[in-house]
Formats: sequence, structure tokens, C-alpha cells
Amino acid sequence: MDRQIDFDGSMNQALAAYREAAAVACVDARTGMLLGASTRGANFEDVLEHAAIGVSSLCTAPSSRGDDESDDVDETLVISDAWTHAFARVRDRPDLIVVGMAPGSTNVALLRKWVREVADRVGASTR
Amino acid sequence: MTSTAIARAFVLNSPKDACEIVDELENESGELLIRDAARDPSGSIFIERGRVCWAAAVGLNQRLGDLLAARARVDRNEMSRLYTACRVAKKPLGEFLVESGVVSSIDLRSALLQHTAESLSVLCERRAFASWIPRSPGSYSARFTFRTTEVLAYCLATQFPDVAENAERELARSFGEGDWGAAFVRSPARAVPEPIALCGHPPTSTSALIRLGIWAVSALDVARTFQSRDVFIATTREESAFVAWETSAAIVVGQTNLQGPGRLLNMRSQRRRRGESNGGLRS
Repeated sequence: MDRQIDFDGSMNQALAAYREAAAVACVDARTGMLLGASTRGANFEDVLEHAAIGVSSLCTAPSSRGDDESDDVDETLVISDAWTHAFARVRDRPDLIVVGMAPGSTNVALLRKWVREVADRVGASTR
Repeated sequence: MTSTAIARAFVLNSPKDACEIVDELENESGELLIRDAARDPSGSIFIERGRVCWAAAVGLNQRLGDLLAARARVDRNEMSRLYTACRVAKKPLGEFLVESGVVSSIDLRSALLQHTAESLSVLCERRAFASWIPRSPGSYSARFTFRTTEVLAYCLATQFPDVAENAERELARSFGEGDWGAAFVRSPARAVPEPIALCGHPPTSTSALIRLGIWAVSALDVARTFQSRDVFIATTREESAFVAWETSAAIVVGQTNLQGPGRLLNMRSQRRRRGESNGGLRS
């Protein structure tokens, strides 16, 4: 049986460590449901929730085998003038995805690195 | 499927249908004999080892000559003379013109592609029926045959030449060696986005390429539920990345190495600094 994981606690800790981010969440990759989330204000919650709902479309791509199936992707970036979202699939737990968001002007590479680190810590805590 | 297989019948509602049928035939050679709704013969599509060599439609017999004459910059009288000379030499017209130095092989290929795409568009204007007749491979030079994706993109490009031209420019400046890119258009008249321009070596089957177009459209639509309209998407898996964005009239999707998304974001940022509208992306 999986031990209980404090997803909210993990996300709160992660967001506290990276000031440039507006929100972070751990998401069930199959359903888009939020397992745990942390935001710097209620106005970010809607955006984060819509990003979570989109994971099944945004974190898969047509298969490389040429068939009708889709393959999981490791990471996704969604960038516009308004926001930057970075998604990272948890290694060894492909059913979990971490998504972090920051203003559109953010340093994309740093956001991506931070989200990958958060995903790796989630992966370690589930073992 | 062997060359002795029984002829198969298909229904065609669009050039996309014809291209998907050719892909299903895989490495076969033969002829798709096309009949219109009244079952009268309307033309043919000739296939060599899974590639399109030629499409001919009733009423377009003179078209290739006109296309070659334009590229060779000769008038009809001179083209007639060349036709006669090539019949005497017993050579295919295109190859005769290249060997004579009248057109370059690039111009010949371009004329053949245009003729094939125009004929295919005419053949599939209305519902049509196709019968597959296998034949032994002929002597078509591979450099003058076409992938179905190439023919399909050209069909659409002839309908929307301005969009195609802008899309080609966008692809050329976005994708480099080892990458591939494709631009798609979508409209209420079409159930799925269809390719209008290609660069590099995209997937060779029409259905695989269109699946990528569908993925890009879907991902961009989903992203816009929580992002602004000028969104850019990059997904990474193993050693490559898929990227997608939308310009003023087309959806661009492509595959790059892992450095590709960073390079494209940098390019987008530079274009914005130069005052180009959202780096060429939709605002």
C-alpha cells in the first residue's frame, strides 16, 4: 500500500523555495485532478486548475511508432506573454506530473529546472 | 499485397483520401483508375513503389506543357517543336527537356508536382471512385516522384498561395538541419487540419502527418484556456522535442533536437525586440 504523501506540504515547501514562481501543483496525469497545490494568491488558482486539466493533452504527443496511440512526454513548456508553465513527469511515477507557473517574463530555463527538481523530490517521496 | 492481387475499390471525397489510400498500398506500384459519380473515367493516379509519379485528369492534357513552357520561358510554338523532337527521340518529355537544357531538373520536378496536385484536386472535387490496378514497377526516376504528404500540401497551397508562401517563410526561418516542420490550415469546411507547407523530412505518411497537426491544434486550443493567444508549446521526450505555435493564418508544428525550443524562444524574443508583431505569432 502506498504510504500517505503530504502533497500540499511538498508543494508549499517547493513554492517557498522559489520566489519567481506564482504557483505549483502535483497533478494526476490521467484525470488532471490536483493532488496538492500551492499558490501565492487566489487569483492564480483558476489558471493553475486549467493548466492541470490540460495535462493529458499537453503531456502526451503522437507516438513515434506511426500508430494511432499517444506517448507520454517527459516535459512540456507552455509559454506566452502572460504566463510560462512548465510541466515535468515524475520519474518512476508516470501517473504524476508537477506543473509550475510564473509570469511570462520569467527565466524559462530556471523555471523548468526548478519544476524538474520538485518532480524528482515527489518521486523520491513516493518510493 | 502482390502484383497479382485482385483490384480493390475505394471512395474518394478529397485529395487527402487519395493520399491515405496510396499510403495504405505501402510499397506497391500501379494505377488508381478514377471514375466520377456517374462512374465515367475521369483520370488516373500512377504510383511507383508507394510514391506518386503522376496524376492525370480529363481536361488537363495540355496543362503540363503549359507549366513546362512557363518555366522554360518558351512559347507554345517552341513547346510544340520540342514535343515533336522528344517523340522522335522516344524519350519522356520531361527528361528530354532536362537533357536538352531547356529546363532544370528542379523546374521539371516543380512542374510535375504542380500538375499532379492540380489533377488530383480536379479528380477529387466531387465524390469519386478509385480502382487499384497493380502493375510491375516502371522506369520513373525516383527524383521525379513524390511523397503523398508533398502532393497533399501542394494541393492546398494552390488554393491558398499567400498563406502557403508565408508558411514556407516561417518554416524556413524556424527549422534547421535535422529538424522538420509543417504548417497546417484549418477551416470549418475541413474536419481535420491539412498541411499546406513542409520543410525537412516530416513523417512520410499522410495520416501520421495529420495526426501531428491534430495534436498541435488540440494542444494549442487547450493551452489557450489558461494562456494568452500567442502561446508556444514545446514537449520533450528522449532526445527530441515537438514544438507548436500559430501564425496569423497557419498552425506550425515540428520536431527539433532538445536545443530547438530554446532556439525558437530566443528567435521569438528577438523578433519582438525588432518590433515584429509577436514574433510573427498571433496576438
